[in-house]
Amino acid sequence: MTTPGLDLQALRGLRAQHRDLNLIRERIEDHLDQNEGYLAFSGGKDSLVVLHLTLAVDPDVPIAFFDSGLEFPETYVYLEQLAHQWRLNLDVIPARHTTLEVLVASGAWDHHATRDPHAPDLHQVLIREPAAKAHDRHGAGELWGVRAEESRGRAAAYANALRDQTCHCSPPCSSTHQRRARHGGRIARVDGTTAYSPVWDWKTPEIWGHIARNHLPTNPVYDKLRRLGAPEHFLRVAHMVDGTRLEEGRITWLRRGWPALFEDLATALPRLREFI
Amino acid sequence: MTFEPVRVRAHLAGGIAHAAPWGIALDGLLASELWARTKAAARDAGKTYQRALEQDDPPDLPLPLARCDRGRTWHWAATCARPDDLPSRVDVRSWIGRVDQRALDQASVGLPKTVSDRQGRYRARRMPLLVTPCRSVTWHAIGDAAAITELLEGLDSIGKKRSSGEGHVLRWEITPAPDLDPYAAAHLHPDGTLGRPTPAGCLQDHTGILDGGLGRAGIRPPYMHPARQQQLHLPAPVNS
Repeated sequence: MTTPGLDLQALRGLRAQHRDLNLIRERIEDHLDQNEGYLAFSGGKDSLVVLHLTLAVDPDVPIAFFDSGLEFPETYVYLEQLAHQWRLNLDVIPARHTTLEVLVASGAWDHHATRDPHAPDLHQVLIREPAAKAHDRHGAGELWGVRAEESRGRAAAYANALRDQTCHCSPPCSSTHQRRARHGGRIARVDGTTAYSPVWDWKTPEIWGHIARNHLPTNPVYDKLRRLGAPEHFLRVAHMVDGTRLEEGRITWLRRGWPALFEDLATALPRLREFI
Repeated sequence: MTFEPVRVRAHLAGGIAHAAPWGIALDGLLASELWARTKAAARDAGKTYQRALEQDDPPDLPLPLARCDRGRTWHWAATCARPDDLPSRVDVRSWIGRVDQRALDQASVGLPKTVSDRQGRYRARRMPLLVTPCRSVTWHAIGDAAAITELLEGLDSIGKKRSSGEGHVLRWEITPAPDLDPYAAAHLHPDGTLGRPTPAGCLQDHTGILDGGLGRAGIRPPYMHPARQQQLHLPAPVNS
């Protein structure tokens, strides 16, 4: 039996929720009514919270999982179990090329390989193409768990989008806080699709707090990374390898926690060994 | 040389840093020392040598260890290091790497105006260093204790980031271990878990040994050489 006072996760769950969840659910409902669409689920903590909030509004919402072909093995098992337990309307959309194929084709991961200028673009293959497929199948709307705190680019995108929002509220929003809560997190793209993140301005502790409070099952990759000693800011679930965060030790954790997978990947991508 | 089960212990100042989830291999340490001596002798004689990793069929140096040929491919009868006081978790430190601009100036005549340390191949790094805090680590082996001692005594640090003070060895202790049966001495950690990358053939008659699963690994030094990599049972992780 765990002692709540010593269990950080339990303590997080005891913290009061300061967000207006009813307002968030209303906004999710409006978003789905206006745009239809799908929820992009990555298997990570942020999209898990969005999934939890959205299922309360629409249990049959299409859940799109963009399969990079290089997810942690635990993520695939977790996804299967969650889909079964929560009866998700899951739509797995595999990438046209796996992440590994794209990385190998780029030639950037092997000093002896030649660079292919026509190699497919990773963002195109992993995000744009699967998202376009999901929009074709389910509609122009997208619910996702992208948060402003994650990067400057994302923060700027949300700030710009909020600035462009016109308030039709009656009475009109009288404070920044109100405006952020009622209009923030929505990004209208030039291709006519609209993304909304109900957790766009949540901080990481709030995400974990919501998960603990509601006893949501998290991806086991988080626990494994914690056991390995990975710091809090490194607890992110995505495909195992790409060109980001290598200089911060991303591969060090992969090598330590998934040694057999690391060796297989390093055979195809020899320069991985430079980052452990 | 007389081969017998031996217990090799390194008494450490503050622990050891290693990237893999298991400790460093004794045969790797011995091969590294022998190879360093081979290179030094070649330089001393004014001869050239080819790096082992650049050879299609790297040489097997005459280590003072027995060979185990239970599997399809033989391996040296020695394990990887196991901390004697198993820590509950690793100590995460960090190391920082920046490109030395002055060294680049000297190495190239065609440098671009700036070499960015924020992006590209030469970007600066702030990497985690996973240190296993422990007072000593132990290896099992079948070998010649005197010859092993002679090779190891010159090593004053082991593992990663030795130049930063990690893995400082206070003293070596190499003792015959008649209490160990030959199989355990060649394959198992003191706690009975699998102590080295092991071919399936070595485990046929020994079931129930905790290992780190099946995976690609080197079977003997040079461990990084592609010709030495194969599917093996991996050693039990340090924190298992």
